[in-house]
Order: sequence, then structure tokens, then C-alpha cells
Amino acid sequence: MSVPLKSNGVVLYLKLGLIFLFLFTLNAKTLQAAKPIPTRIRNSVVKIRVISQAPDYAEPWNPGPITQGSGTGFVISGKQILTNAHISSNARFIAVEKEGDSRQYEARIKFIGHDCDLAILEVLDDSFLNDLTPLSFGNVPSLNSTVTVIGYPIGGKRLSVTRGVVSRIDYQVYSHSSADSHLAIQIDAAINPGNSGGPVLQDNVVVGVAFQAYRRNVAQNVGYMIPVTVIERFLKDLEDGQYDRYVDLGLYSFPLINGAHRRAIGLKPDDYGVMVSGVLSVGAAAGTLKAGDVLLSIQGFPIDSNGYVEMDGRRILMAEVVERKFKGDKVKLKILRNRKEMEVTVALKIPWPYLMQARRHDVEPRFVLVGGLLFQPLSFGFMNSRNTKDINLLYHYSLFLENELYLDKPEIVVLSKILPDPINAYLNSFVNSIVLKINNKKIKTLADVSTAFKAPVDYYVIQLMSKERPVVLERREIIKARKRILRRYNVLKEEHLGDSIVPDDFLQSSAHLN
Amino acid sequence: MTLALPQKQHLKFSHISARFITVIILWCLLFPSCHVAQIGPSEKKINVQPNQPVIRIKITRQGYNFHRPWQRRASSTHTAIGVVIEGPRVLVTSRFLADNRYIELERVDNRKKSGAKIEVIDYETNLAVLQPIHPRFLENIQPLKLTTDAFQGDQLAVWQVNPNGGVTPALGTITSIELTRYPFSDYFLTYRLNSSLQYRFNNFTLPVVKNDKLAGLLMRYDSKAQTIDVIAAPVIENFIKDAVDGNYLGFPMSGIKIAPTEDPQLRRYVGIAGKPGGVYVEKVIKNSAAERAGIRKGDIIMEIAGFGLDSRGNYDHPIYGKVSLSHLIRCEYYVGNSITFRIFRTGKEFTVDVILDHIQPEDYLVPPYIVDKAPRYYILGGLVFQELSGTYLREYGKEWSAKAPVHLAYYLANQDNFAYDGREKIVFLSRVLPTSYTIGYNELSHLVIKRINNKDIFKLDDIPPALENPKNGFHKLEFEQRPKVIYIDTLEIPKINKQIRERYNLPALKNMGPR
Repeated sequence: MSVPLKSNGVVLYLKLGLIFLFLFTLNAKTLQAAKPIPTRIRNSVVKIRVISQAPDYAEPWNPGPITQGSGTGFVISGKQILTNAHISSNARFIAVEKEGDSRQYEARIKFIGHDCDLAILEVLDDSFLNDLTPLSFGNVPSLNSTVTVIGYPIGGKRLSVTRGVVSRIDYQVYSHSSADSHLAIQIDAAINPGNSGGPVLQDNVVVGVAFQAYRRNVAQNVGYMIPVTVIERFLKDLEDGQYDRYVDLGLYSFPLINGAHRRAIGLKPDDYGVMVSGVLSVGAAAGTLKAGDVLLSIQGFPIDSNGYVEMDGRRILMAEVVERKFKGDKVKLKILRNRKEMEVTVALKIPWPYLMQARRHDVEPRFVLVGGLLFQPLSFGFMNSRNTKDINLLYHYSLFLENELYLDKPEIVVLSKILPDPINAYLNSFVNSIVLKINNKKIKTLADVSTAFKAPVDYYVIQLMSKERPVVLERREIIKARKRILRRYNVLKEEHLGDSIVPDDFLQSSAHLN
Repeated sequence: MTLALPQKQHLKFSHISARFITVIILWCLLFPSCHVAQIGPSEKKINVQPNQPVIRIKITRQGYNFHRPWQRRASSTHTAIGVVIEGPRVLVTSRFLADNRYIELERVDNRKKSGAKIEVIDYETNLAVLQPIHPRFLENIQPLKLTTDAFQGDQLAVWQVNPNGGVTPALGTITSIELTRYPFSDYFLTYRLNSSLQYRFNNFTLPVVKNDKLAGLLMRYDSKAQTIDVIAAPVIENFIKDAVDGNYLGFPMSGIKIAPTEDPQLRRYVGIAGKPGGVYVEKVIKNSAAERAGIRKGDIIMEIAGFGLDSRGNYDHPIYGKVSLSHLIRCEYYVGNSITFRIFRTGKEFTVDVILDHIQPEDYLVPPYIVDKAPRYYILGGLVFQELSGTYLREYGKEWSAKAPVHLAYYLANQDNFAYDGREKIVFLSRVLPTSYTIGYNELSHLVIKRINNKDIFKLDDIPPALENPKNGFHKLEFEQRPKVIYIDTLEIPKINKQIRERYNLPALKNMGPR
């Protein structure tokens, strides 16, 4: 009854150095005598059973395996239940159970934030409401204070309660997407499947949502909860009826600690300022900031040479200032450029190319299948579905953002598989190659592949990276082979062009670059 | 290196070490004796005779650590059995001699010893010839003659030499004669024997003999598959002919990469549907013989030196049957020879003459391997700069292609794409040696340097002249990767160098020696 769906070692490609499981469990530590949890709180903590269906990136036309999992959630208002996104992603059926109530109440997802691993479920049946009091939220707990974790670990029917101490408050990668980092609170309560999504309490108010744990031999009793700052931002983002995701400055910074470096660019040896080391061309700061600028302050908070600011009495990454903002919000920065101080304003937005390396949920894999040749764009799901060591694929995947490869190819389309047939009998050595051109037209997205094969020409000539000999498919052979291939391999669908991460306005604005 | 086999067209330099490691491991495994009984290679003992043409060779090897370029690896000692050939000289595999510090020959009859020097060494073909320091060391030994006569099904004898000097031949049957990958990633003719050789005495290589003539040298032994790969006599013959004249030029190359054309759709598209065979030119290497001859990417090679090529790039060899054109170019000709290619291009057939030459590994943008030479480096203010090579990347171990920094591995795999951007080598900051002055830079690694003080860095040797023009007392360093720009205070460099010498005990702060 654990949540088996997320533990498949996907972190590998991002080289995070951490392996998180989404699971939370009982601590071996015995509970010390403490006040019992009030019944009204116990009643509001529910068990969530989810039937989900993960996409199949290896054969993307397949519906995907159906799995069962469970987690914890708690009532935040009326019929609304807060839980983790990873509990409810790719869900096909969700049921909620209360302690001491044998009924199962069907629920549906009302909002889901995959970048902050939070979701709101809504129970369909009004009778669910009886005896329920919504839990209220507190603040970020202080270090070394005690917190209580409540939930249904390893699938039990009865609530389980564990206690731990707040041991660290810092940024962590949220492994639900594996590509987002937010503030997280580390507690020394223990670890096993099932309490994901459960409340972490202090003085009977919620101070966080349990969501992931550190799983490695080097450390023990390292669990994480999502702090109220992140929860409140999620709830506020929803007020307009939709979730818009986090926004970002879209830049990289480099600490200005080296004395010679500081002197060379005209900075005093005091402890302020970080250097902009890169600006994402499609990010918020593009056009306003450039590599080499020095960031001195953000929204009036002075930035130290390591990129930290002093906020709410805590030293915290300057990103925290941006984290609390919403789509379209602006951020004021004081910078030093060519030894002159300037004030600039940046309107925040989502740096979309990062989604390529993010684990995505509730979307279907994009693909095109022609003549038994499967074309797929590079993505986290794709890389995770195969253990490739192909250097071109690894390069384009891991440096997509860093080397701004998306400017040339918003999607890296790969000839990822061949369903053997006489039409493609000589093409096996081309598998895992990146598609450059079809009939001399540059392939920038998967849609270009689909379009290219619709052209009524005799030959389709496909040029692949590092394979100079072109792949040639004859149109009449493709037409002859089509039904044969679909029938033989039970292919249910020949393409899925939806669920792209590339914004339309980017494609239009870059259309002239050919 | 220039010419990939059609059936293995994605020839990269990448797999060398992994292959080679397997080989060594396999060699170290003793073979269970029961298998010998089943398959039954006849073993007969030849008594110790004073004129046996074999020499035990002992070398002490000490390679370099490319991740700490100022440092040698721990030394290790290995033995091999070499063959006395005309000259007299001693023939042995070059992989055995790589990074040697001391070579010692020992006669198996009277156990006399002599130091030796390398006369000619060729890593591509895995061959080398040695000369004893002591001039009369090889006297009274009847040199072994070479025979290129070998057919599929023939029996060859692998000569093992026991510690007392007795030769114990083990027989094996030639199951195929084809081109296989040699230790340094080139493809050459190989006899593949099936034999349950009881591999003894831990010798690195052994002579392989047919009718008391040398047929090859053992290159690889796979105890699981019970196969022995043998450097074939034609390769040795070509090597010796080139070596004895005192001016060794290496095995010739044309400088093309080819792909097969079996796919009927491709054949119809390029217009060779009605013709027999032909191979597709995938790549023409920069500054190669083929480039000078005007061969282009996309050409179809129909014929080389009068031999028609099939669609996989094989020709009919009078003895060995279907063999890759690579053998024809590299083993039947010499550097400087002209060889006629019949080319099909956009509907027309014509011939071009290619004057074969040889490209040294160190001439590549990213040299696929560096042997016998100390890695070049230059330490600037604690920042270690090196030139990228396949050897550097392979220091990441067996799984290096997944473990090495991906942007550096990408340079090796795609170096042809960068061949025209002006760079002679990829110079990069490999690591920082932390000192009091490098705080804030200590974590930097694997950054490719573009410019220093606005001067392009195209090779390591460009660094010292670029340092002559600092601005306001600072050197400006620009990298391809983030943080893109850093600065070094010129006045701090002597202090940093002093700290490096004192704390890290480095013998030198640079090696700008030969590649």
C-alpha cells in the first residue's frame, strides 16, 4: 500500500546527488509523553487512496501501467483537502477515508501544483463534511522546536503519530518534479511510505506538509516538510481560479568572494554583491541584465557575496524574495554595471525550457510514429525510460538550459525506436540519433516531424546528428507498410502532439530563425 | 582512425579503454582444465634449444595520471614473449610497451639479459620492434620468417614459453579472418582462432606460428568465448617493411568515414539502384588525403584500386575473401602511394587519385589517446589548464562516457564539427589548487577557456603570450561555461605559486613539452 510509483531512480539524470523517496513513515523512536492530539484534529486527517496510471515513454501509444497507492491529506476548508501533488498525479480514481468511518468518499483534483508538490482535492459527497473542522495554519517553526507528524504510513487504517525536531531550514530540490527547488524544513522524524501529504503540527496548528525523505546510507532520520510559506503561496496563487506556477528571474549568479575578482570589477572588499554569470534568453531578466552585472540588492534587501539576504530574521537565498512573487509581479534590483550603480525592474516569468528536465505529470508523452520509426522529444520521462549512454543525447539533455540549446531546437527530437519491418530493415544503427532536418527543412519541434511526413513527396530524406548518411523513406513504402506495422505491434495511436512545453509565442517569435 | 568499417560505422575513439580492460582481465583468468580435455587442443613440448626464436621481455611501466598531470602512476612490471625476426630484431605488441620506463630482454635458453631500446613503435597496429643494447645478444638465434599464408580452417600454434624456456604450443583453428578493433581503436586484419588455450605464465603477448613461420601475435584472449584474436601477418609484414628503412611513416589513411548502402530506398534515392555495391561517404576528415583529392561527403565510392566494393564496403581479397576496404587502403599500400577511387556523384561516375598519408593522433583537435608522453599543463595562479584528450576522459574509469563532464565528452565525440573554428586543441581549466588567494575560485573545474586578456586561446602554448598584456594589474579570463569571466591579480601570482610549491610539493608549475 505504499506509493510505489515514484521511486524509480529518476534522479540519476539530474545528478542531484540526493535520492528522495516520497514516503514518510514511522520512526523507531518511542514517543515521549505528550498531550494527546485533539479529536477534532484527528478527524480532519484523512487517508487518500489513489489509482493512477503512469505514462509509458517506451511505447507511448500504450495506456500505461495502473498502480495503486495511498497517502495522507487534511481538510483545509469545507470539502477541500490539501495533500501532495505526487499522491494525486496521474490519478484515475481517488477515494478518501476518515478514521473510524468505513466509507470511501470519491474525490477529484481541484488544483494541482507540480512545482511545489501540493494539490487540493474536493470530495464529491456532502455527507463527508459531518464532524469536520478545517485545520488552521501557523508559521515557520523555529529550529530545534518539536513538531508532530500525523498520517497513515504503510497503509494502516489507523492514524499514526510521530514526533521530531526541526533540524534545518533551507532550500531543497522538490523531487516530485526533480527540477524545482523551494524552501523545505528538515525534521528528524522518520521515514516510510504513506504519510506523504499529512500535516505537521506544532501547538495544534499546521506548520507544514510532510512530503519527502532523504534516503541514503550516509544520513538517517532526515525527513522534509513543505513550510507554510510555500503552502500559502500555493493557496494565494489559486485565488484567481487557476494555478500559474512559480516565476523566476531567469539568471545564474556567481558568488563574488575572491578578493582579486572584487578588486578587478571595482567592488569594495565588504561582503556584498553577486555576479550575474548567465542570463536565460527566454527568462525574465533577458534584455535587462547581462552576464558580468553585479546584483547589489533585491527589493531593498542587500545581497551578500554568497547570494543570501537577511529576511524575517533569517539568512536565506535571495531566491526567496522571488519565490513569494506571482506571475507578472515585478522585482526591483540594484546593480553595478561597468562600475556604475543602476536600478532595474524585472517582470517575473516562467523559464519554460527548464520543464524539459522536469518530471512531468498528468500529461501524455509526445511522439510521432512513421514507417515504424518512433520520434520523441527529449524529456525527463524519455531519458528515464531508457538507460542511454549516448553522448549526444546526454549532452542535449543535460545542457539544454545551460547552453541554450532550445534557441536552435526548442525540442530535441530523437529517432528513439524502430518497430522492425522491411521498410526499416537497414536503419537500426540510427536509433537514438537526434533529427536535424527532414527534406532539408529544419526540425525544431515534434510538430515539424509530423508536418514533414504529410508533404506529398516521393522521398523523405531524414538527416540525423552525427550520422551523415541520410535515412531515406519512400512515401509509397510508408503507405504500404502503415497498416501492417500498426497491426503487428498493436499500435493504438500514431502521434500525440499535445502537452508541449514550448510556448506558442516563442515558436512564432523564433520562426524567422531558420 | 580515418576509415571506419562499414559494419561498425559509428567508429569513435571512445571505446578503447573499456575494451582493453576486458582484455587484460580475461588474460588474467586461468582456464579450467576440464575444457581443454573436451576440446582437446594437442599440446606437445618442444625441448629447450639454443636457437629458439623467442625472447622473454620484461618491462616496467609507469604511466601518467591525466587528472594530476604532474604526477606519474605507480610503476608495474609485465612480461611478454617477443619474436626474433630478420635483422635481427625483436617483434612485440606496442600496447605492452606503452609508458615503459625500462625494457629488459632475456634469452630463454641461457637466461642472459640485456637492456633494449625501441626501434619503431606503432600504436595503431599494436606493433613494435626492439633492439638489444648489447650488440651480440641475439646471436645464434635463427630468426623466424613471416608467413601471410593463412586460410579459414587452418591450425595455428600459440607458443607459450614456460619458466624453464621450453616452448609449449597450443593449437587453435582459424574461424574467421576479418578486421577487428585493435587496442587503440583502429581496425586491422585479425585471425580469430577458437582455442581453449590454457593461458599460463601471465605473458602479455605470445607468438602465433604456422609451419615454423610467424603467422601473428596474440592480441586478445577471451577465456569465456574461447577465442583468440591474432594480429595477422599481413599487418606485421606491412609494418616491418615500413620500419626497416629507417624512416617510419605509419599506416596510410585516406581520411573518410563510410556507411553501407544496402537499404534499397537509399540506393534508389541516390541513383545507384541499378549498380552493384558502393559505399556512402559520411565524412571527409579535415586536412586528410581524401579532402585534398576532392572527395566529398555524400559521394558513393564504387571502386578502389580496381577492386569493386560491395554495399558494405568489402572487396574480394584473393586469399581472405570478403574484407573491408580499410584493409586494402591501410595494409596493401604505403604513405605516399597514389590510389584510384571510382566515385559516383550526382549521376556521374569518375575517378580521383588519392595520395595516402597518415594523421597522427596528436594532430586531432581532441587526441584520441596520448601514450608515452607526459600530459601538458600550465598552472596560472592556482588554476590548472590542460589540453583535452581521450586519455583525460578515460581517467573517469570504465563508465567514463557517463561519468566524465558531458560537455568535454561531447567534444571528443563530435570533434569534426569543431575542426574549422580555429582551435588546435581544447584548452580547459581542469581544477584549482586551493591557496589563500583562490578562495571563491576553488570549486571551478572543467571550464573551457576562450580568451585571456582578450587573446584567443587555441592551444596551451597561447597562454604565456596572452599573459603579457594584463589590464590594470589583472588578467581577465573568459570561459565558455559559467561563471564566464574571472580575474587574477598579477601581483598575487608569485605568492600563489610559492604556496603551491610549498604546500602541494609540485615538481613544476607547467609542462609545455611535446604532445
